[in-house]
This record gives sequence, C-alpha cells and structure tokens, in this order.
Amino acid sequence: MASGLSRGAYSGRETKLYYNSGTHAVPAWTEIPRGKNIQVNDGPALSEIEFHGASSTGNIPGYDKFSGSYEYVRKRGTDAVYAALKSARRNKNIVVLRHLNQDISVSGADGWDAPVLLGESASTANGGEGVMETFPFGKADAFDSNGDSVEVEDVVIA
Amino acid sequence: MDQVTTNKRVKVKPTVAIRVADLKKLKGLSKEQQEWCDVVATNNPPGQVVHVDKEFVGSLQSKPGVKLTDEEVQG
Repeated sequence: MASGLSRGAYSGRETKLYYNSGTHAVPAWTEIPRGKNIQVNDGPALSEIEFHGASSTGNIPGYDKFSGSYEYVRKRGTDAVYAALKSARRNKNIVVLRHLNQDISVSGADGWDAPVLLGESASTANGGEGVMETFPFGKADAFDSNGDSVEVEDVVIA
Repeated sequence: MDQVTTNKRVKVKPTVAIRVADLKKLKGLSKEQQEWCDVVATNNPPGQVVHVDKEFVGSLQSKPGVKLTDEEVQG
C-alpha cells in the first residue's frame, strides 16, 4: 500500500444528517440516523429567453432557491426522531437541518445548515422493502430573536 | 465578469456528544442554562445523544455537579 495517498470521493452513507433540537442560539444537534437518499436543489431558477433575430435562446437567472427531500426508514416501536420530524411538519415548525460529509465531531467536516419547512410527505410500504416516508423540504422564511434573517449556509466544523 | 462572489463557508463551533438524561443531574445552573436544558429535555428522549457546542457544555460543567462528557457516548 502506498503511503501519502488519501481517498477523494465519498459516498452517501458516509454523510450525516442532523436537526437542531436545542435553541437557535445554542443548537443541540440530533442525528437522523435512519435518513437516506438526501437530495438538494440549490441555485437560481433560469428563465429562457427567445430573442428576436437570434438563432439561439439565452438564459437569465431568477430567484435563488433551496429545497430538497430525504427519505426516512421507519422503525418499529418508539422512534423519537420520526416523532419529532412528524410533529414539526404537522405544526408547521421550522426545522434547522445540518448535512455534513462526515460525523459532526470531526474537525473539517463540511456541509450545509438550512432552516426549512417540511412539506407534504409520501410514505410507502411495499413488499420486502423497508417502510419509508419521504420528507420534502424547502427553505423557510426564518428570523432569529434579533430579527435577523436566517439563511442557508455552507458550514465547516472548526 | 465584473463581480466574483466566492462561496463562503462559515466556521461553526466544534461540538461534543452528551446524553440528554445527564442534563438533569446538573446543579447550580443559571436561569438561561436551565431553560436550555429544559428545551433539549423536552425535545429529546432521555437516552438520546445530542451534539452541543463544546464551550457551552464546559460552562454547564463549571459548577459542581455531574460531568457530561466523562463517558464516551455513541451516536
């Protein structure tokens, strides 16, 4: 084995998803250990313009958007994480998600923090597959106690 | 290009893992600290492990009481 080499790519299973179960000022990050297939759409919507006299179309950027979804594999019996997520969705509470490329305890782990609202879920129970629920989310219009807007941030653990 | 905006990454504080049940054992907390502990205990079952700012956990342990991070907790 050659020394001085490190792996570049990483897989989805190595990433970790958390939600804040504390306060905004002092977060307490609870892992969502049964989450999978985390998908995020981030960036501006593009509007295609058909210019008169031009041979090809061009695009202009519209509003930035942050939204996505993750699947949650249901657990038999008590499942506090699922209960918390379901409660947040039912009550339309803002959930701050953190998705990192490593465990939160690792210095240098990076990813994003996002205040989101959870939307209409679809759940599936099919044959031999695990029973799952899909949680779609979209960036919330969120403000902290100082009245400052809370935005999506790319974060790295110091 | 007139303006280049680079993607800024925000450095966030390192965390330590604590078990929610241990928060009840702390003594001599300030009002704000106690309120925070109550929020976390309400939002999580006692056995849940949560990851909290290392400095804040240090301040919770600054008064005589039970250490939160003596045992290694597994997420």
